Amino acid sequence: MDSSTEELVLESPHGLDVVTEVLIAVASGRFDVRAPRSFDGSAMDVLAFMVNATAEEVGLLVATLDREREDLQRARDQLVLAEKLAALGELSAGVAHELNQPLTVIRMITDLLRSKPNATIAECAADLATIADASRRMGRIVDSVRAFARGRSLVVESIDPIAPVESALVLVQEANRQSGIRVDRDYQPDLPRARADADRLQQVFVNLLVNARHALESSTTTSERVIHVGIAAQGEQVVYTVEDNGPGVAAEHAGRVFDPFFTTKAPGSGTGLGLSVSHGICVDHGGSLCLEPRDPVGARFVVRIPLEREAKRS
Amino acid sequence: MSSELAALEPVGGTDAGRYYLLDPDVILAVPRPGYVQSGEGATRSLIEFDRIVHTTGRRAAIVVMVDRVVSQDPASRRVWSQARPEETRCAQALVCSNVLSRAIGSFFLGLSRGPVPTRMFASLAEARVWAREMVETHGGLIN
Repeated sequence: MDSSTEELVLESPHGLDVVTEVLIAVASGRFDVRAPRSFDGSAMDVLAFMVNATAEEVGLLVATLDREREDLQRARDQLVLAEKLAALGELSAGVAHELNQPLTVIRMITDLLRSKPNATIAECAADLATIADASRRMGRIVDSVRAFARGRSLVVESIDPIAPVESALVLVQEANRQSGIRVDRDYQPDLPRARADADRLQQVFVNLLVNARHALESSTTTSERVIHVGIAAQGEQVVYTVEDNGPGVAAEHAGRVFDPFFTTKAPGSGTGLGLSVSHGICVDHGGSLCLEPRDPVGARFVVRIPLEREAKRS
Repeated sequence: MSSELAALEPVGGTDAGRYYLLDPDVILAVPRPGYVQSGEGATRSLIEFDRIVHTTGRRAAIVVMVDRVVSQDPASRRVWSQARPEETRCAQALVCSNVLSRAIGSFFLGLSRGPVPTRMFASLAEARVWAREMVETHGGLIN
């Protein structure tokens, strides 16, 4: 015990009262209360030693557990960040292509406008609108990347439940296009708002969408490659489904997909942390992430996040 | 106790008490009466024990007369349980023949037990027999 810790030694004419007070203090989370001792080896002295030693040891145990809880949270935060950085690397080529497209449009139109030095603003209105649209598109892409890369503690607030999915799709759409993958959306109209950290949820959906693309790329199916994204309100939760018609998850692996570092990919292909981190993010929200069976082929991941209470009541 | 100690060879000590050679590679620790052990006191005692053992170059068992101790704080328990044992200690025997010493010994055994084999005994004679056995099976040269 830290010798600098102040201890409160009780005074009472009734020994058992003092013992009781020490134990009550321990039960209420105070570990600095002590029973006075006579050091004469009497029954009361032995009892006083035992309750004091109990208070000391429980106090140390609680302090140790608090420290370990903080260490664990720091380690989890580091894990989330590591997975995020790995995913950013995965996404960078696609994001660069996404940015290059509107940039090319802006460049072409500005070159065109330069060739018409006498054109009026009204005559250039359509071209200027195209430049503005391209700029806004670039802004959305940059915002999505910035949101994804942001490293901070969980911030739960009222959000549009569609936003994290759409911002994730912005980041993966080019890679999907290059792989010949079509993304179908099925969003329930007038969705109520959810209580979530939009940036963290975006990370979950980026992970699920990247996993779906990898599964489809490895598939030998001749069918069209499709990722289906659904959003619906069910009871007190918003339910997201991300499913693909790829080879699915083998039965022997289904129980382990959320284990840290579990992967069926070749060494060097991914951290094996994506689903584990995503699962942790969903649980931190008071929700869940599950793998559900899908007929006839493919995988379906289901994310459940709490709705905002005012929205639920309405 | 005094007559028994008079027959033993003193091998060291601190302000906490004295060490005696009970048997080959078995060290008896006799705290001064009414001793209250703190972390600092335990550290000094352990340093002195290690010094004594290094004079022989062989690990030893320690037999502690806990009856003479009236209190031990958590820091002192951890000094004995967390100090690297393999260098000097092959066993720890706690002699606890009254209620208070049994309480002190129980907290040490229950909450701070380290890797060194440790047992509680009601008498010095029983502790001595066990300590000899432990020296035979777990003793040897200091690494």
